[in-house]
Amino acid sequence: MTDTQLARIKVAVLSFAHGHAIGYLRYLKSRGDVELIACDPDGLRSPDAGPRGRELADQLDVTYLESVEEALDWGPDAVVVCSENVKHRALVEQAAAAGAQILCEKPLATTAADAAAMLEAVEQAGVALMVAYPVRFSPSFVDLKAQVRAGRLGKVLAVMGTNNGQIPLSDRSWFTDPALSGGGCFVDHIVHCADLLD
Amino acid sequence: MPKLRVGMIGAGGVSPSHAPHWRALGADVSVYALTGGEELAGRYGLKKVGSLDQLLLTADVVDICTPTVTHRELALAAIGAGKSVLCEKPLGRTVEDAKVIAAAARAAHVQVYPAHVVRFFPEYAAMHEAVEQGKIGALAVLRFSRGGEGATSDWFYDEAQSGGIILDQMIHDLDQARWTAGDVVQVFAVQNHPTVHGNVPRNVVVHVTLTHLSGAISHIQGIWGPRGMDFRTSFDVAGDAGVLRFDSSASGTVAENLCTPESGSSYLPPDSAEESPYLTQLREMAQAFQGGPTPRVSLDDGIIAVALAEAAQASIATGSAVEFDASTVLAVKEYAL
Repeated sequence: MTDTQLARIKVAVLSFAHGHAIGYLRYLKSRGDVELIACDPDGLRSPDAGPRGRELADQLDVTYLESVEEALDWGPDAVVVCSENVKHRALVEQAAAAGAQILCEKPLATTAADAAAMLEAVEQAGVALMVAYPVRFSPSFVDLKAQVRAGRLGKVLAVMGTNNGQIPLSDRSWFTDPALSGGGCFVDHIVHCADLLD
Repeated sequence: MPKLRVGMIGAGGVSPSHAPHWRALGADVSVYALTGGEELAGRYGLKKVGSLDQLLLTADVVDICTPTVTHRELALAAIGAGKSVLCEKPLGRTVEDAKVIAAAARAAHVQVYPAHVVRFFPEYAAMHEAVEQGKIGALAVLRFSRGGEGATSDWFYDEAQSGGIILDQMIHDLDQARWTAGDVVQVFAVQNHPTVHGNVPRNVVVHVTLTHLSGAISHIQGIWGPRGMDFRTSFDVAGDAGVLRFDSSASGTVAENLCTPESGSSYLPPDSAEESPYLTQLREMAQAFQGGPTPRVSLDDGIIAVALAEAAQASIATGSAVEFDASTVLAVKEYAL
């Protein structure tokens, strides 16, 4: 089967602020059923050591547009929001208004009020909003959950979870700025463990 | 070096981890026990005696391996007879017990040490040394876990006798955390299932969080689990220049799948290729008792470990973090004996 025989969906990656944008771009690019574009309007102004904006898109051979407006005018079926955490709300609201299905990097928002507003926006627009919690899809967690559900552990008495990594100081340093991230490793890493517990 | 004369009290779970090592150090060993003394004596070539008085007549060093609640009375008897004492952890059932023992030891000018054997486990000793040498920089987060099938004897599950899992088992890692990361200023703990009317549940997990004066945080998990649960300990110690990790389940040399319906592993840690840490511990104590260097664990360490366990229990009872100050714990206080 060739690419043209597949139903292609149009996906736009909005912002490269989160390093996971690179992974999304590579994966989506590798699929035959996706038409992909990306934009990173704040990329040039960010103090990152790593490439951002058009330079990164060119490296990954992805079509680049200059602004979020242009990206949404392109009519994507779905978007992936990879901005700094505090900017999630604005991008999700814009994408919802444009009728796109949305995958948003975690944490969904930096305040409960922002999160509630985002939910209201997608409900009104009738689009889906999904938070990127990839650990839920890891084979070991899927297996663990199945074993717990099957009662093999009995009643769960206690759980310990850790999520450790190198602090992003030179590359993607916004993670360490509460004004942009909402609170460092608490919101960036603990959310995964908290989500799995839930 | 003159021949060491050791008098062991108690022939329960931990005694087989002491007796052969005293013998390996060339000591003459007597044992006094309410039950099991005959068998222990026969197995390791000890001399069984019929009373505490008799034991105190034949020993220079008294090794207390009895249930926790008896430590105070037995230690005071040994100190009163002028003996050097090694006392299984915890040093006392309460901080008061531990301080009374310490005060008596100082007044009588005899050496008394708590047996915090984890300080002698090669992996834990190596971690401590690497931290002391600054190899991982300033400590940030320390994680310790210790768990497996719960102890078999009933007295462990009577809080009045044992102090429960925190005082009996987690005291090892409370001591490790403080030994490695320094003074503790705050203690927070949670427990599931809860202890009700002094009955410690058979399946119990406790998480303790210590905040150290330096700002470092220690997280400690202790488990007394169901029959057959493998015993496992681990640490993960992170500084601003590196991380040190150990997991006993990953370091075994023999993969085991013996298909026994009750694979009940021992409450005590498995053997390793290294010298037994119990032997290392007893050698260091024996040398101190015979005028050698001060051992790596002190009487005050024993008192503070009990105090940390009590603070964790207080935190569980109140649901709040408990402020901690070692100097207040150690401050001289008169106890009515």
